[in-house]
Amino acid sequence: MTTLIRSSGSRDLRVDFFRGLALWWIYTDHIPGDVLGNYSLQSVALCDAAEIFVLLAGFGAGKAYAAVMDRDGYLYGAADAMKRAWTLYIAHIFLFVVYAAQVSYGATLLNHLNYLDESRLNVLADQPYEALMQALTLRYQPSLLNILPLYIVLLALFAVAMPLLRRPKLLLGLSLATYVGVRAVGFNLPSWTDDGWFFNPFTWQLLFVIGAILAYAPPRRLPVPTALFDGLAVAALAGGLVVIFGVWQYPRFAAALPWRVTHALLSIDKTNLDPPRLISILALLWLTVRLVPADARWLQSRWASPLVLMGQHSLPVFCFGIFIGFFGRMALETGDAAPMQVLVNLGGIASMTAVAGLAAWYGERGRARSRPRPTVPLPVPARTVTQVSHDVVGGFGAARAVGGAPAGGMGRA
Amino acid sequence: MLSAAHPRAAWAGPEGALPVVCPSSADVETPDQPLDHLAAAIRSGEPLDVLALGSANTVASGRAGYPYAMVQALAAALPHTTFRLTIQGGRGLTAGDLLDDLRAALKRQHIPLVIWQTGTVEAVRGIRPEELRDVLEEGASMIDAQRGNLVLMDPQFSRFLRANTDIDPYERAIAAAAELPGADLFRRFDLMHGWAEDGTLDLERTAAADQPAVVSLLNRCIGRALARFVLNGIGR
Repeated sequence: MTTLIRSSGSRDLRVDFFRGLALWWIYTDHIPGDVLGNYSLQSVALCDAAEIFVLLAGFGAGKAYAAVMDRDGYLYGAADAMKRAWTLYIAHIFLFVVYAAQVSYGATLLNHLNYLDESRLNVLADQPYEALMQALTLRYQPSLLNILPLYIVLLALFAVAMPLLRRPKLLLGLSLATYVGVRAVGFNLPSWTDDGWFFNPFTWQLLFVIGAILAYAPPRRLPVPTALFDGLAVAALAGGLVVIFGVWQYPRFAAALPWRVTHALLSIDKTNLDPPRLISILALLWLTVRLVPADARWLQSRWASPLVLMGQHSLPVFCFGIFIGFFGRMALETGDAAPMQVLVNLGGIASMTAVAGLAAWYGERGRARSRPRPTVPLPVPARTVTQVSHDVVGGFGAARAVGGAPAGGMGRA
Repeated sequence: MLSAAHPRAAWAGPEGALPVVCPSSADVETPDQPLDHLAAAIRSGEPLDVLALGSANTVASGRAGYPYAMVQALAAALPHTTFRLTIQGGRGLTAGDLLDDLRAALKRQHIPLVIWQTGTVEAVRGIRPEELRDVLEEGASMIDAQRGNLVLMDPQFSRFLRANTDIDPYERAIAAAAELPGADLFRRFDLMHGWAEDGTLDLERTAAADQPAVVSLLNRCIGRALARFVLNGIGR
């Protein structure tokens, strides 16, 4: 399996591993009755797999599309990002159909019609024509189908803002100002069934931008004094534990705190990426960077390889996870004792790894076929194609000289 | 919107035999704060108005619903008190939708006990938890100002709901509102979770054919647990 893992000097396997872990947690958290759902990140931290997923999605975008922008120019880089957003959109619509069919069929079969209300599929039966249109415009998102719409909008915003990666401080400032401003005025994208999107893209963009900047313009060294930041990160996570196991369990204890503090702690919300959630994921990020070196040996070990492989092929794995999650759910409906728990979870990780492995094998074959074969020398005419890359002067990227004209002459600049 | 008022419906008679004994849980059935307004109203000897507010859980089962079971059990324990039960609410209604009904009801008459089942619709529709908390706090203050006690009841235990929505912030919003004077929290989620864990009553793991019987038993057992909660709150 380790041979299927893509690794090169610039590839950070930590990103792949933790993205795979987030995908795994998304699987276990979304299967009703899966015991592992009680022991995922959200049981010990104020953030959960969604924060990891968005942060690392930003990291991935900052690496992939910004590299295309630097090589082939802004327009091409932006088009590449939009193409990916389009792929995500298609995947989302496909999942919508699958999920609607699965849940409505299962609810009817088991006579749990409340499942339709509880996953917001009831409107599909009440107003089918309207619901289909609203689903296509992403204004109708049944439960569980809200992370891909977020990702689509974030990628589209990223396609526009990509050139600002070259001025990371400005980009971060704008992103932070948007986060603060949007939270202050309560702006969100409209939703057909609810008050707004479950994940407000205009607040969650901050995490995506942080990820993108870390990928494109990583700080040369960690901010000093590192010991201070270590202490702050540990304190933030310990504070999270106090909130989870103290304040949330014993509201009486919370009532002893100042009223404003109590209210803030009791109503930490996911929709707008409330500051405690943001601080929690940033603290985890800091400690991970500090404790896990990029070349850590265990990342290349056999036991880490399923998660690394899943993280490298996140879209098919995510979609497949939602799909088989339904069967896991049906299996646990028949009995949720230990043997079934083992079957659902082992079966889940094995099949998700298999999907990732298939995607890796297919992708590798595709790359091998398109690779030039250096052993066959081609006759080189006097005037031929010349490519100039990494010309970032002037803002919008690479000049590509074609047909022997001097670089910059006929090229896009 | 469903509204069922039953003036002068006295529940002093003996209760019907139950096929099983409802499992009880002392932990969930003890309120944090005493229900002082209710205790005073009972001492006065006047007929006592009870209002049950909520969504489908509260109204859908009609006379087989938990509010009736609660009042029945209360009447059995307090034979000298006449209870008048009003149920208001409807499928898919939020706490915000019910606030005006509550305000109107409080204007009409003195209501010493309000049961408010809430949180599920808000969680499913992704309404901001603060909004739920603000509405419940407003309701709690109104009820307290009219010398009544509020018992908030959180969502029922459902693995499906837990996996499909982010339920915890709504649980906390309800718990926060229950800290106000005159308000208490009846933790139905924990109670039903316990029943599901020990296998006594688990609707999600019940075959379709047996579900109506289990729903009716659940309503009865929740009503009785609620009655014990109220009786503990008035020191009976």
